[in-house]
Amino acid sequence: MQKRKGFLYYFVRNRNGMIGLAGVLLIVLVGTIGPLFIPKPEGYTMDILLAPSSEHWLGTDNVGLDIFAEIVWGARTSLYVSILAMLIAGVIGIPLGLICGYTHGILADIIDALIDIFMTLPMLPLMIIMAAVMGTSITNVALILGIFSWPQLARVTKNQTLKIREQQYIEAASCLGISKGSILFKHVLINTSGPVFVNMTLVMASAVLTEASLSFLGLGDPTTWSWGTILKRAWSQNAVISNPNPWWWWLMPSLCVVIYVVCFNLLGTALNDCLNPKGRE
Amino acid sequence: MPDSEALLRVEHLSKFFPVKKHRLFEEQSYVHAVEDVSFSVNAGETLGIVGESGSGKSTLARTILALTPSTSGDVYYQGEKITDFKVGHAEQKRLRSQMQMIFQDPYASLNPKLKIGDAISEPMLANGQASSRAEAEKKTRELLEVVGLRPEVFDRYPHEFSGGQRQRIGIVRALAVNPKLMFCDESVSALDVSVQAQVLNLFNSLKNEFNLTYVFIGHDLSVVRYISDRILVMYLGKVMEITGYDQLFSEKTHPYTQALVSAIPEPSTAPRKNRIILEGDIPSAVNPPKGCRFCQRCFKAMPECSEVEPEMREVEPGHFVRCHLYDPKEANER
Amino acid sequence: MTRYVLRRLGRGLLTIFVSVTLVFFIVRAMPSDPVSLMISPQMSKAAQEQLMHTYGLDQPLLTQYVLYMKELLIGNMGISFAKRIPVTELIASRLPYTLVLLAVVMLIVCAIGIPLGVYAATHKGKLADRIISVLVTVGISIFIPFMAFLLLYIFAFRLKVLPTGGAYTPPMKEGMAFVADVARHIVLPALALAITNFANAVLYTRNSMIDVMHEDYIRTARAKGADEKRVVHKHALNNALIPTVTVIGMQIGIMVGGATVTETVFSWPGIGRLIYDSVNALDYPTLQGTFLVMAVAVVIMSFIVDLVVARLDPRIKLGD
Repeated sequence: MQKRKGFLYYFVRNRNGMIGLAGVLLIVLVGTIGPLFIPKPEGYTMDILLAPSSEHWLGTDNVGLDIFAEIVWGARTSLYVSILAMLIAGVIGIPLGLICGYTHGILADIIDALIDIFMTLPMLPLMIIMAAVMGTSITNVALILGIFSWPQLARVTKNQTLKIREQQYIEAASCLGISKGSILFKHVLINTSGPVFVNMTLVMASAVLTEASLSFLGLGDPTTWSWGTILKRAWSQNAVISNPNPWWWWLMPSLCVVIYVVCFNLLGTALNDCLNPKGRE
Repeated sequence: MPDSEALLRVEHLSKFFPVKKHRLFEEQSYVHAVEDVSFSVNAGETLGIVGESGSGKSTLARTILALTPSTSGDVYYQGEKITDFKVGHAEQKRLRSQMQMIFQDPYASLNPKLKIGDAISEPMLANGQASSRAEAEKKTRELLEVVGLRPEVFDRYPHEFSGGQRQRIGIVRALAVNPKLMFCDESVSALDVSVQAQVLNLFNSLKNEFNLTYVFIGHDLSVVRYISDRILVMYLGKVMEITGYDQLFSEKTHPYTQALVSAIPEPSTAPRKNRIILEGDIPSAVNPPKGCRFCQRCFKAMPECSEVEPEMREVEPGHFVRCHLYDPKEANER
Repeated sequence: MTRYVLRRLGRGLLTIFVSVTLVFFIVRAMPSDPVSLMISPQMSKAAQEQLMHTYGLDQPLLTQYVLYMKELLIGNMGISFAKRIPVTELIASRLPYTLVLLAVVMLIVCAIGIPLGVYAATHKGKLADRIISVLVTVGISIFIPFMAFLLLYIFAFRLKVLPTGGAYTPPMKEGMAFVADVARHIVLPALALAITNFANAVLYTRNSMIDVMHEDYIRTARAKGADEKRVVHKHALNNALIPTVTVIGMQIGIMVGGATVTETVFSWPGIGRLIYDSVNALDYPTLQGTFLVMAVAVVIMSFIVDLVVARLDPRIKLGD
């Protein structure tokens, strides 16, 4: 248990990591519990473009809906999309990375070339087209994000696998008659988990960024709230440059996106530093 | 050699590794890790394989066990051809459990993220030595006691153990699948001298208890000699000598073997007179020397040694040497 | 070297081919039909079929694909459904704006980002370094609309010193007046777009600079009594720049089309905005054309990155 203790020891003393973790937990809390207490903002009211007050914490938009409520429901979407995207990317990327790193031959070469090509292709425009093709629902957006995020995970897994493949315990396992599949998906996989885990948090961060961008461009789910959707509505009403300026309308949701991503990046960096003995100072 | 009874027979086995090319139209060159090796191991005996690091001993074991594909030559187990384990699936499973290997580095040969119990039970379940987790656990605990470990180690992780303990765990893991033939690849080299002796004794007692046959690989003749019935000396991928334990000190051994023998520490306070010190390092296995592989470092080298490669010759019953010193023609001329 | 160029060329062509093919089929999987958008009900049946035929839409999918690839080889990207002009022409009119925008971004990144990274590395652990590190973490996490809105709010709305969008104020002026006009318009989109790359440049330069400063040859240079500034600039920087160049170079390649959000917010008439408009207009040929241009840009940039890295690091021989 020496190594694990070491990791926790360093992690709880990593200030940035703890800030990131606190932020992530807060977002998870708001996104899961918030919608149970705050009704989904729908329709319209007469309280148009009210500034933040004790009644409307973050003000209201042009149809009189409460921005705070919209943000809480948006947090739920962001969580859902980023977790689903991460899982999909993991399900595709990790096995492909393992196979690519462990085996020699045509299959490994093909996967390697695919990773290379996908890593260099401009992702956002491709996702825009995919979103237009598949129709706008948050599950579709998550699917697209997952499908386009796998190369990153596959590459990390591959690089780890290449290192672990040369270890003697892998040769020992095959000498003991353990099947290739079991070696790959048990012996290799449990040893790649650290860096892969770190990268999964980074995938979650970029998934939220992309989801917000897509819904900002009008390719999000029109039936649910997302931070990008709030921004799109604010943008289409010229909220940023209209006078008087409803700053709460455009500032708050975009601030949420930034905070979410910063927290995940802080957490990822801290995990990476604590898993890697060199970065522990 | 009593070939008919041999448990394992290796014939002209070679393993070449391609060297990475730097230019497109370069001729492919190879590392001659193992070249034209033939020998046999009888049931119940211990064959020692010695040689400096880089002589191809480990590669030889790995090639026999099909952990790396062979370049040419054949391997027979109980009279059946099993080269590269190109046999049926069921037969492959049987071979995997009957031929086992104890690795050099007890720190690197156990998966750091697997509990000891799982590491030992898994191969039993995979090869059919146990049909359920409970049965595997029971057998594992019994075996742990046989090698002198407390059964409680079952739920621990490898990093909690010392090198000697880990090597015992490695032995248990190999024993768990009921092997007949055990390859010990430098299995005690990484251990402290005091622990080495304990583990060597353990090997000896297990041999009787489980009817094992050993191929014991090492670079230290004093260790290998201790456990072996016969000794095979390798140099630069080739077999230089195969000799019985008693003939090791006879007059008719290979100069290289003589050098190795002279390096065995003696429990004596008198100054040593006849220690043979070899000059230089083992040459590159990419372009092995023409003629005898050992000629550049041999203290008895003759002109023809760097021209013609000597053949393996039986100089005494059961004692084979690859050296021009013992050529019959040479003897006649003298 | 020959082998390197061949392999590189092969990979490059493969990337372009995969990208073009992928987009060709994805675009055709769109649920809406572009023909229904183009054809007005008043058109006669014959005229409709004539139009379909002109655009090749009456052929089977695979035939369309083969035809498209054939035409592509001789440089014909087809005719835009939406604008009814050749895609080549359409892209040629948009590409300069994107390239100018990227040039300004590059300038910001290289002229400010790299020196800032070096400064942070040489003042490691001090207050300035800690502030820079926090800003960098925020910078790499930045959401472009957030940055864009903030810039618009401050400079266009509050201070009213810069325009809110577009590349120039119509009517289009001539000569230097036009250049000055575009320069005023480019400031905000370039700033919004640069921030992520800027943060990356600072981060990578700082980290690899710190690594390099611990290398033996830097210590040797110092021990020789070489001037500290000279050590930093001559010995350390060249090596430290390699990761920065790699990351920034690849990012720039991707941004040829990837600046969709920025270009949309600021109505900048570049390739990114063209993609957005073409998706909304179901303009297949234009979409395909933009992706071809993007893939080519990525391939060219990665080649340039390799050359620059090889120049920075004499140990790297392109032959290996």
